[in-house]
Amino acid sequence: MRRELPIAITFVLGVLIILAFFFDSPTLTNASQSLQNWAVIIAAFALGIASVNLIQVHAKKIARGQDRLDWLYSGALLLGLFGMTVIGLFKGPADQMYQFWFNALFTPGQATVYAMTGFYIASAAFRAFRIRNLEAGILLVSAALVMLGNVSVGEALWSKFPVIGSWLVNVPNLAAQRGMMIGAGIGGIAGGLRVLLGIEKSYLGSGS
Amino acid sequence: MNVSTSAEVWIASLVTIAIMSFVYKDNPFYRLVENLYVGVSAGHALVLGWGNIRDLALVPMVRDGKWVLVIPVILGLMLYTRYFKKLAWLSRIPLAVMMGIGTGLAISGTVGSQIVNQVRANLVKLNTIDNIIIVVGTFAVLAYFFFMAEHKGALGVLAGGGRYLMMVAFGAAFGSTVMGRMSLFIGRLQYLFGDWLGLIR
Repeated sequence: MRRELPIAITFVLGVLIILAFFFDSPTLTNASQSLQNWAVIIAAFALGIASVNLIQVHAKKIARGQDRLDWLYSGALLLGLFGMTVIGLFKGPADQMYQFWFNALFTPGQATVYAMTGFYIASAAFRAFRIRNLEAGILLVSAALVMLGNVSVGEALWSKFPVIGSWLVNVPNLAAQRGMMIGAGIGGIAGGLRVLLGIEKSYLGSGS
Repeated sequence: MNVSTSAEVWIASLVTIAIMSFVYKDNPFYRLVENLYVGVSAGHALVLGWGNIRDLALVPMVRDGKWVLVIPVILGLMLYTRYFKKLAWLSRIPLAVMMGIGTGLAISGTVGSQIVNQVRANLVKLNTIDNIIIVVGTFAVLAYFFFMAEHKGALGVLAGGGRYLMMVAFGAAFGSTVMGRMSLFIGRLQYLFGDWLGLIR
């Protein structure tokens, strides 16, 4: 009962959504739309669980004070969490103070974290692009041509670089992406069917 | 030099420098800002989540009398039964609802966008070299993922071609990603030297 009921619910709701996609029925479409709204509401409650876990972990770190500065880092995290939540819940996300902290911390933080990954990609490239075989060589040449085609220095070196870069993206890359998309799509459907049929049930966790 | 006097720009610039400092090595300044950023992101997600509960459930219930929406609210609250040992199994029910809806959407979305649309887009006239490369290339990549027969003979040649083609695609994707990240990095430098220090326009 404790495992069978959730599996049955997953199957019924999954099949209903799939039927709504394949059959032109207003009843099914409305039911599917309502269920999608339900999922958004439940997911919003799940965010609360995530925050509770975050608070538990960092409150414990502060209480233990294991590392020299751990309490400071965890305190900063909780300050950010509570600060944004309190301002957002009481004054709304459009409030000037909320926007101030959003623009001062969240926006530059996100942009810089993503920008920094460029350095790590470059260091990974150094390892991946050492030509050990033909495949690595093709990878290197393709990446170099696309990059040269995208920067003005590439065009200054040879006017054909942008043309070649664009062709690589629009023709061989398109063919490979299309093949991979179809292959991954078939794999995704197989994986989804495993979930709906109750073969894959790791999401239910362990225990009875 | 026209240094900004805005507190927002100063804090944003210090956050940017703190995160950039990790490229040199891990340091307390970076870790402090990293934790603050995680906290602010989590708080922001929580505020957006509350907005969804209010707009999609509470307001339609109270204003329009759509009391059926009490079901997802109860399901959402059932997630919290995981904190009570005897009732913990009940938290599987809302998870099952989300998995069912998510899997149904994933399957139907995949059929439409990743299979039917891609096959349809591949039905082109073989009157140019580019079209021939696209059609044959797609079959070659699919052959690489076909494991029901050994990759020998014609299938082996086709699958080998598919592997090389995938390397071209990975290279192109890598090049595009690096360019995208570099433009983000340039954007941060422009913010520091332009918006903050006023050295560039």
